[in-house]
Amino acid sequence: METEDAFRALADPSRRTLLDALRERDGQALGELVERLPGMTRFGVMKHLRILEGAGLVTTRRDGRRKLHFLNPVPIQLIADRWISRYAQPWTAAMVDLKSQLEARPMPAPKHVYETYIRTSPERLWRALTDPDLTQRYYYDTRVASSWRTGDPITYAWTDGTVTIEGEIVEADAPRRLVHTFSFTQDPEQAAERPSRCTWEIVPMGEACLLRLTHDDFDGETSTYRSVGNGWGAILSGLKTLLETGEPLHIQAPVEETAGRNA
Amino acid sequence: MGAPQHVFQVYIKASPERLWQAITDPAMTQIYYFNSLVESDFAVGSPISYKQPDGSLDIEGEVLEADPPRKLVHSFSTRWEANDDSPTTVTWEITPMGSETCRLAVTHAGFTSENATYESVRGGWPMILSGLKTLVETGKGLKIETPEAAEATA
Repeated sequence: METEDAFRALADPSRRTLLDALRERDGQALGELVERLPGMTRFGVMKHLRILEGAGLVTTRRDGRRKLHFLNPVPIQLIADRWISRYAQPWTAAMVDLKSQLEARPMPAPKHVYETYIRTSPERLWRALTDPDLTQRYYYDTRVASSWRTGDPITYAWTDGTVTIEGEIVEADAPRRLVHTFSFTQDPEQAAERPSRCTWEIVPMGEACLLRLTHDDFDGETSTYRSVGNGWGAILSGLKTLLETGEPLHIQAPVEETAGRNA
Repeated sequence: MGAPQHVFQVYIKASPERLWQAITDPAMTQIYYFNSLVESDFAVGSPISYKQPDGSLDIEGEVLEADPPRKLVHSFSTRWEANDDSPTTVTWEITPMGSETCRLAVTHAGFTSENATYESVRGGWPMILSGLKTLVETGKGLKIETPEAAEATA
């Protein structure tokens, strides 16, 4: 049934991009449409066009050696006609407008959440988070220091004493949960921001533990928020390798990535 | 606001070739990908599927791009439960990070909304990537059990 095929065809975002391309300029050849979907092969685009033709949303015509594709909006118009009566039409127009306004609003507070599963016990994992000899082997060569009491400071420092990260303990519930505030000291812009917050949760899962790190409480997409993403990935991977193999993980960024990397 | 998507990154002590094998070898996927065997010739346009040992289908899709050992892109539809969510796209990218280590990035994109599939893979991908890393670095799989299940087998 034509409407069903049209719905299925429209369900794919790449196919919707192709329809947008034809709405902007009708009568395009395959080569031109391939450019609208970077990262997709010619074969992939051809398959999508075949699905669109099958649904009656695209028609084709030969122009010399080229095959040109044209948008056929009739199936979409039939859908609109069927479900949007002339009485509902003003309301639906208003709802569509409201939806675009809402989607233009700022996103909810930014945060990073990482989950990793590690073959270790909660106690060993807690120790890896709180022992400076261990953090030095996965946390960008820094040694952690703290009394682990609520309100007391926590620092991550290089062996020459330079503190790179500082904060305050909010909660330390061994071996389940560690919460502390977080500031980079080495970058003036980031040091001036209000501290953010790291929550480390350890959940036993049989022979493995889930380690969930939530880094949040940013005042929007701050410089710190934008820079910690890559760092946490490396730290958590290094922690997992250290606990599972006994050896640290050696990561060297490709040359073009070293600019802007933190700590 | 862009379309919802998931991006995960993990750093693994392995060569790009070894990671490509981990992604494409059913004997390995069975260990870290929820017990399923991947099936494909990984040629562009070919089907790709993940099946349980009893043959039941978990995931199916089509290979959209294959550039060993750097990049694999395939469409993704879940079949393990009844849902009508539209197909999405999974991109695996392997980037060397020095002589010993690679970054493996998985981008799962093309969601039309934060639908049921979006929510269920949010928890699944970290399990898959953690299991893959443990397998490649230690030679053994990682058994992840919910606390209730662990108690039952203790």
